[in-house]
Amino acid sequence: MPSHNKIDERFSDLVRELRSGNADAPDALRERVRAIAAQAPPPRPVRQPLGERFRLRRAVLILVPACVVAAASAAMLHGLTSSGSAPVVADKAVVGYGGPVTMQALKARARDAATPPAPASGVFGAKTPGVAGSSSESAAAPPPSARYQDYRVTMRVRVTGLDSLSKSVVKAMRVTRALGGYVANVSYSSPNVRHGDAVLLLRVPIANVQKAVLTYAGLGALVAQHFTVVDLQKRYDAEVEQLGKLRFQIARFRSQIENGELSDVEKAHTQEQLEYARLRLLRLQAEKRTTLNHARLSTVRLSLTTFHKKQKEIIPAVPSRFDRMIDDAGGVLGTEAIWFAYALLVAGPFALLALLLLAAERSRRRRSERRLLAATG
Amino acid sequence: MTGSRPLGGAREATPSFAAVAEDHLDDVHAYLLYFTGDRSVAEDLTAETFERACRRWRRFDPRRGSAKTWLCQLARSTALDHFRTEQRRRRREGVYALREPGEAVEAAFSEGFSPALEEGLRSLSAGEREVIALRVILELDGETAAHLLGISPTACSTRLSRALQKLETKVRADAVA
Repeated sequence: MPSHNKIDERFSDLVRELRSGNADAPDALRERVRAIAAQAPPPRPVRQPLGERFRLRRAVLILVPACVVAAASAAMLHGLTSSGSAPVVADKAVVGYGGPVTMQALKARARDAATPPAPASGVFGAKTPGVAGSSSESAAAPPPSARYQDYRVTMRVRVTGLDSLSKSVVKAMRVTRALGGYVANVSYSSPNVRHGDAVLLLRVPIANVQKAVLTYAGLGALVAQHFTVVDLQKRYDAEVEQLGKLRFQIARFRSQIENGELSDVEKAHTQEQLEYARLRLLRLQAEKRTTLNHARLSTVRLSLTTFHKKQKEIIPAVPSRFDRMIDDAGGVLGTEAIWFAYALLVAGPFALLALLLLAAERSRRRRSERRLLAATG
Repeated sequence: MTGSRPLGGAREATPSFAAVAEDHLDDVHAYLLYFTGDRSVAEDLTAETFERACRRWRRFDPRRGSAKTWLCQLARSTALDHFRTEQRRRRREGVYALREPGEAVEAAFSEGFSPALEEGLRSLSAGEREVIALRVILELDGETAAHLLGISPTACSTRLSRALQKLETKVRADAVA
C-alpha cells in the first residue's frame, strides 16, 4: 500500500472516535432523495455517444498515426499515378541539353512543350552513334509550328579529315547566313595533323531550320542529334495581356492626374504609381522582345569532328517508373512536411498561449478555492 | 478501506440511479456535514447534489470512477457554489457569522461525539474538515481523495496529517480545560 494511503498511527484513537460517530442522513432527507431518484432517467445504454468514446488521449493515439499513414499514402499514390504520365518522347527531346534534370523540371517542360505536328517517332528522339544513317536523309527536324516556340537542335556530324572539317565549318557558316541566320559562336580545335573538332553555335530562323538541319547533316556522317521544342506561346500571350493591362493603367493614371480632381497627396501617389507602371511596361516590353527573338530564331549547336572514337552518350538515363514514383512521392512528402512545419509555426505560439492561459486559470481557481475553504469555518 | 476505483477495463452494467442514491446517500450527507459544519445546510446541499446527479446521470461513466467518487465531486462543487454565494452575500451585507463565545455547542457532526471533539471539528477550516471527511469518514484511498481535491496524493496526505494534528491538539486542550 502506498504511504499516502496510510493514516498516521499517532491519530489512531482520534480516527477511531471519528469513525464511531453517526452521520447518517435523516429519514426526511432519505425520502426527499428517493423522490428525486424516482425521476431519474434510465441507465445509459451500453453504447456510448461518439464524443465520449473518443476521448482526447485516445483520439490523439489514433489520429496521429492515421495522419502520418494518410500523408505517406497520398504521397505514394501521387507518385504512382503521376510517374506513368511523363511522355517518353518529350523526355527524350528535352534531355538532350545539359546534365541531370529533375522529374519536376522534365514534366514542366514536357507540359509546356508544344507537340509538333505528327513527327516520325525516330525524328524527335535522339539519334545515337551507330544508329543514325550517314547521309542527310536520316536527319530531320520537327517542322515549326504556327505557335511561338523555343526551338533547339544539337547535332554531331563526323567528317573524314581536317580538310573536310575546315570546309564543313565554312559551308555551315555560309549556309546559316544564306538562310537568314547568323553564327553566334565558333570553336575550332585541331590537336594533331590528322584530327580536329569544331563546335558552332548557330541561330537560324525557325522557318528555315528544317532546311538548315538537312544541310548540316549533309556535311558528313550524322552521329547524333537532339531536339528541344518548348512552347513560348503561353508566355507570349501572358506578356501581351500584361502589356495591355499596364497600358490601360497608365492611361487611367494619366487621366486622373490631368483631371486635376486629386489632392496634392493623391496626385503624388498617382504619379508614383504611374512611374512604376511605366518602368514595368519597359521591362515587360524587353521581355516580350526576348521571347519573340527566341521564337523567331532557332538555336543549332553543330559539332563537327574527325574522330572515329565513339562518343560518350550524353543523354542521362531516363529514370524508371519506380524512380519517378519515389521522386514524386518524396516531393509530395516534402511539401506536406513544409506545410506541417508552417502550420506548427503559426499555430504553435497560439496553442502555447492557450495552454498557459488554461494553466493560469486553473491555478487561479485553485488558489481562490483554497482561500475560500480556509476562510470558511 | 473501501476501494473507490473501478477495476480497469471491466465493463460492468450501470446500476440504477435509485440504487446508487440509496447506497451512497449517507456518504454524501456525511461528507457535506463535515465540509459545511452545519446540519441543515448539509441536508439541503445533499438534496441539491442528488438533483444535479439525477440530471447528469446519463453522463456518469463507471469506468472513469466509482459512483461514490462521482457523487462526492458533485457534492463538492455544490458546496463550493454555496460557500461562494455565502461569501458574496456576507460581503454585500457586511455580516460576519461570528458565534458568540458563550454560545452552547450543539451536536452538529454526530450525536455520539464528545463536546471537545465537536468543538475541535468546529475550529477547523472547511478545507481541513473536508480532507478528514474524505479520508477518515468515507475511507477513500489517498489517490482518489487527492484527485477529488485536485491536489497531489502527497499534498493530500500532508493536509490530512495537519488537520488531524490540529484537531487532536484542540481536543486535548479542551479536555484539559
